Amino acid sequence: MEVQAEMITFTLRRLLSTVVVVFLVSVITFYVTRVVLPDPVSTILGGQESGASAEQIAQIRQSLFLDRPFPVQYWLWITGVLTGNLGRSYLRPQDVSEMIGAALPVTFELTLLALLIAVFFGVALGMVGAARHNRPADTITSGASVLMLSVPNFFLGVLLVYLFAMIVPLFPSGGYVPFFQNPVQNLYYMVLPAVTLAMGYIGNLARFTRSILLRVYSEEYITRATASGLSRRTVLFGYGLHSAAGSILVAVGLNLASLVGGAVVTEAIFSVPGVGTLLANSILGSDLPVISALVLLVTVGVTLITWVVDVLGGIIDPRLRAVKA
Amino acid sequence: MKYETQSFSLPITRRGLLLLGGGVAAGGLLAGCGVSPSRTGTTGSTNGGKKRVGGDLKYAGNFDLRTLDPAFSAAYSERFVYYAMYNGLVTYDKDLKVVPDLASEWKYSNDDTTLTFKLRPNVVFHDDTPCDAQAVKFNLDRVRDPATKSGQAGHLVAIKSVEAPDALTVVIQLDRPWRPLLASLGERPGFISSPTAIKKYGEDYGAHGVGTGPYKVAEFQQGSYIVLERFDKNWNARSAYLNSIRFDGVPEASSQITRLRTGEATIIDQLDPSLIPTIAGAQGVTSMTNPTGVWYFSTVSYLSAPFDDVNIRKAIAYGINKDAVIKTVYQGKARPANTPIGVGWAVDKNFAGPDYDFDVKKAKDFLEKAADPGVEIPLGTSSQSRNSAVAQAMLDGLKKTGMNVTLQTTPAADYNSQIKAGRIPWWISSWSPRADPDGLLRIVFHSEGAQNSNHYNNPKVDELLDQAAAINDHKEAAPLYGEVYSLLAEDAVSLSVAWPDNTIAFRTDLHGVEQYGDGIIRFKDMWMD
Repeated sequence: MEVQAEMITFTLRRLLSTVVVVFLVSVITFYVTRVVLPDPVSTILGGQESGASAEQIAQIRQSLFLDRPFPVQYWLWITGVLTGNLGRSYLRPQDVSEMIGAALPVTFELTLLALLIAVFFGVALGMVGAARHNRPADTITSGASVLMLSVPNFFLGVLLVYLFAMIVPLFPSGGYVPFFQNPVQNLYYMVLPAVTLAMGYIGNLARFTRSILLRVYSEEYITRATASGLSRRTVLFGYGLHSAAGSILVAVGLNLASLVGGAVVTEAIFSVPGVGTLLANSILGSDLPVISALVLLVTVGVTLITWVVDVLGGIIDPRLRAVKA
Repeated sequence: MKYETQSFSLPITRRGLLLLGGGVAAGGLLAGCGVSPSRTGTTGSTNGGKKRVGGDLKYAGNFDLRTLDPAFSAAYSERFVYYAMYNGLVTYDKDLKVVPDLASEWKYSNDDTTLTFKLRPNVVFHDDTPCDAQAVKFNLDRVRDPATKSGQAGHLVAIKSVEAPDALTVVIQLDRPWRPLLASLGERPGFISSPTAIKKYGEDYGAHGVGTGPYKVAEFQQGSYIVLERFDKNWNARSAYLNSIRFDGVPEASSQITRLRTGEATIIDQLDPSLIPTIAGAQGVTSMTNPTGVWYFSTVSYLSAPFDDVNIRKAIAYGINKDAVIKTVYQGKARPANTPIGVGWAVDKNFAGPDYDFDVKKAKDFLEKAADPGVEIPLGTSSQSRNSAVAQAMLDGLKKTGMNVTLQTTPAADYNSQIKAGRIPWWISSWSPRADPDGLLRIVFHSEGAQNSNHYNNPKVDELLDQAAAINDHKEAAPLYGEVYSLLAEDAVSLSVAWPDNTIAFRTDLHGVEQYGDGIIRFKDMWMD
């Protein structure tokens, strides 16, 4: 019973801090986008090319509430968001929710594919390194990990396109086909972007898995298990991986944030119409409702994932509960 | 009533400006053809065999198509699509001359305040709505109505009323003679949409787009691509050969080139000169380079010190080495500029005002006359690569004059807003050409111009611009623009640097590629093997 109560307190405390983080980020983003970005009204009226009169500019500022004090603007926006109304794009004939609804599944798919690739190869490489500690296989996998996590997305993407779209034309160099229109084509277009996005993550996870496994392997119970005659395989991958799983999961979750960041660059290289492309286009066009909503969405997403991962980690490994709480 | 056809050779266009510092923005180089034929170097054949119907064209560009409603268009790249799916009362030929489109002929009244258009019969929109005089009136009134909040309304200010006395006649009453209006009717303020579709879709109309053009919307994926297909009931069916045109938004220049080389794209444009060698010798790919009227210049906010001193401005003007900029930044693919207008009928070939060719001695002389020759002079540039390359190349020449110049770099995304806020007193920028010179000169140099960021105010310039805009005959108007250029040069406020060329690259099975004076590709002219 006591364990359960402890778990519930832990879960709620994490949830509370999540809400605080989301609120602060929403205020900061809302403020920063309105102060730093160029005046959206001139963009709406045709950008630098506009011949709009002063009255017309004033009229549009008023209709968008841009002439109101900042707290009022924020209040109008956040109450809309809380009632499910994200507003309408300044630049496109669409509601913000509709735009995000179209872009989100694309990024979700890309990130999920990258995550699967990264977890599979990352953990596998890390296990090889740990199991073959200080032997050639370890040196090779560790070297490969460092290389993978050092190559920036924008370079890797262009390199992969050069190798696998131009020299050996296996994959398209970019573009997108909606999944429900043609799932096979969709995956075909997603291969290079997903690998590009996954690469740094593989290196990260491999290094993390290796070091956490090495720490586990040095513990007494592993020595005892080995001494008691269990097979090396059972000890390393049964006992060892089991106790490392919680930490690895947390690492996966925490790295997800950087994965979302990487998606912006990757989507640009491969012209994938996801959240990253939408965010970049919206910033360039000063489309404030879209920027605010997207940043809020990413924040909620990342903090929620962190929360879920924390809680799951706590369930899998009680030691994490103690440390985090 | 006798109508004149094609009698107005006003090369007019509404050109978009390059969102220069805007970083990523699409506004790349615009083409201007017919500037100096000797330079119209073509390195690819564009005339293949017989024109045939068929083929699927794919264009890859730094493209962000936001809306299909011309009344709310704010992006340069949107016009590539509009020209394939919409018509206006008039349009432009490749030298930016105004020619008939939906109107077969038009005529001014004797006092130039009534403009009467005769429409072509039997024109239908993509949704089968007939395109008659009422439809034209509906569209022009919609853009003009303040309740619509169209950013294009400013281009139709001279209109007092639009009337439709019969199905094929449109009469526009002006509140004053106003030459620039005709050109505006061939661009976004004048593209005609189906009234049925506008009423049906309301504020979502921009997601659909229904015009009278040779291509209609087949599929539109926001932020990614749009596919147009041939509209077989088009009034000018001969102008459409391709089965479909696909526009792919590909922001990365290197990705565009890869697509062209692999055949995933049929045509790309606005190639950076440094990337041209990467397609030289590529199989199945050819390219075409033409001069443009895109105007690269540096300009100062002449109200703030030290730029309020005309001697400092003139020293700067003589210290800019245009040839060095052209050689290092454009690899020679640009023309040195001496006035804002580099294409069209208002080019002053015999420009008499100071050309400000690089001259260290003259620069030093003016610097000595300045109130404080040693004053620190900050040159602002954006982090965008083209912009900062121009600034670096300028800096070399300026330093030779002994001027105390420092370079200040602003992140590309903030550049334009910082300029507007007056925080960058000396900056580098560019504008794309328009068919009617008034389109550019008024907004940049008129004291009440919407884009007059340096607060330039010369009553004589204002007067000349207003006087010239009321003259329909461009032979009569051109000398007045010549006077404007001289006054601008004398004031040394906006210093011309270059008119760079535009390079288009395309697959060799594509034909009918022509560069228009405004840099916008007209896909309706093309066919494929």
